[in-house]
Amino acid sequence: MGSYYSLIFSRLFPKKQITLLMVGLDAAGKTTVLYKLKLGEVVTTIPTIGFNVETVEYKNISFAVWDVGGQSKIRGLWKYYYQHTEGLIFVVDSSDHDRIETAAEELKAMLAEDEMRDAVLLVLANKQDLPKAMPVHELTDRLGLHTLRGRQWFVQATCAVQGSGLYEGLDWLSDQLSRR
Amino acid sequence: MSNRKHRDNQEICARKVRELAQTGVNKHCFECSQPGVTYIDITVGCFVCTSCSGMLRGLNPPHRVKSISMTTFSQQEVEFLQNHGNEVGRRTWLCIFDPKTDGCFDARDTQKLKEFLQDKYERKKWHFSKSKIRRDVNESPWAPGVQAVPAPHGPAQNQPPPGHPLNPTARPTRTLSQSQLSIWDRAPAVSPADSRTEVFTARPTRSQSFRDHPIKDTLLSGVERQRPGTISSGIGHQNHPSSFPALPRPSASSTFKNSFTLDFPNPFNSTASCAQPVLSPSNPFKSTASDDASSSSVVFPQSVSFPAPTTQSAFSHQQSSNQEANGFNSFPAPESVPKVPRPMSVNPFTGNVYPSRGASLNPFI
Repeated sequence: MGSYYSLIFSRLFPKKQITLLMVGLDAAGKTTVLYKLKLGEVVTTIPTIGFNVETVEYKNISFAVWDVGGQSKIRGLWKYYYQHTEGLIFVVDSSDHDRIETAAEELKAMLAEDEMRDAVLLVLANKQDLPKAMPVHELTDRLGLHTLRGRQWFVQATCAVQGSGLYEGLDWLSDQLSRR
Repeated sequence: MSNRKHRDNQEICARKVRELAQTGVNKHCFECSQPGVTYIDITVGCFVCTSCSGMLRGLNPPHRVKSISMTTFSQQEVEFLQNHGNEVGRRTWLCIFDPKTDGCFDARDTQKLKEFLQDKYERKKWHFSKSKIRRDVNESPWAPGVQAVPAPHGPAQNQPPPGHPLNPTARPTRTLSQSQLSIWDRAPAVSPADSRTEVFTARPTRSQSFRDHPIKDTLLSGVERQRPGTISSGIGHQNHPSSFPALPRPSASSTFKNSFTLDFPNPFNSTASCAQPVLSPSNPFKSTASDDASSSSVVFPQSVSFPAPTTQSAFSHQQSSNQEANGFNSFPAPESVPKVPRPMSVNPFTGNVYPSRGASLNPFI
């Protein structure tokens, strides 16, 4: 009987499906973010070759999160995941001062792609627990986000190993995408 | 156009890195010693396997790992790797590791391996900087380190015969490692800046470190005297056998050549390994030595013998031959090692560099 009602309920209010693409430089913490969201625990990851994909249920929304490896030679593969992406999660290692410019370039190149013109941008300023982590406002400046035109973006400070900030980011994404 | 050049550079760097990864002890994972390395711990400059690379990323602070095949390397990174590698890493991070007391473990046990890595890098349990405390306990600081690595080839084969005047002692160990630790070692003894100047400029310091060994000193002067003029090489060659009774004969060089990638601080390894097929034709010694090739080939490389136990494993064969061919560049001391091998033009015998760099320092010119 209960299952019957739940069936009707799910017919009436189907779960919203959102496809998210999660990219960023290598060792930014993408895979850790993904599995922290999926499993609620920190897993020891090896550098991603190819991709990981998981669906994360949150607030009656099913997020299909594609986590694509970020090592320099395989960044060229990101473009194959652009299609049908509604939200882009760009993970940045906030403590990596040396490569923030590289990250900014990659982000800029990606947002210039035609297929990404409708995607909303969530930047996760990850590894905030580390000393010397850049605060959100500094990261925003160095990524050049203020210069973006015609795009909704948001920077969320996170620490994937503690799980802080991750659901706040998803909140913002679901907020933006459910308005459409 | 510049884009293509850039890509070519990257290609060259990638090839160098791949070569390094197939050289000597670099072939085995620095952490779990399984054969076949796919990643590089760029933080410490060691070659590791995929699963260990994951562990290293999880350390605190995290190490940066780069895939050998899926990332691009800059020139600086290649140089860094040439000067480091697994052998240098072992001397730095497992300097006082003793498998008997510190225990061996099964590398497949991930928990144990993680603890091992935490001990190694976070607590610096076996780090070089702690070896001073235990040096008096360990009579020979090399012994534990050598055992520590389940080396693919026995390190003992390169050890000089007992009683050899240049049998490695505590002192070379120290000078050597200090120079290697320019980035990581925060021990008060040498600040990064200090060691860097030492590396690149401070020749007086270097010669001091040699002055402790009177034999070396005579050797040095002997070599210096030899170098400017080719005539004197005969004299030098007569001298050497007497001061180095255990000098490897050319007949032994083939065996040494095979194992030359192991960078034990034995100066004679390089002596033997570079037994001169690689010397550039422009080297005047080549021609003088031709009448007495067997012995002179042993003689001249003396100038090469001090450098860098450290570099040897890191260099590819070609590079090491480059360096050995230019007697001058490699001449100085262990400290000069981290410096990257220079191109052939530095060869004092062909070129211009010798007067400019060496003139003021060498009283014999």
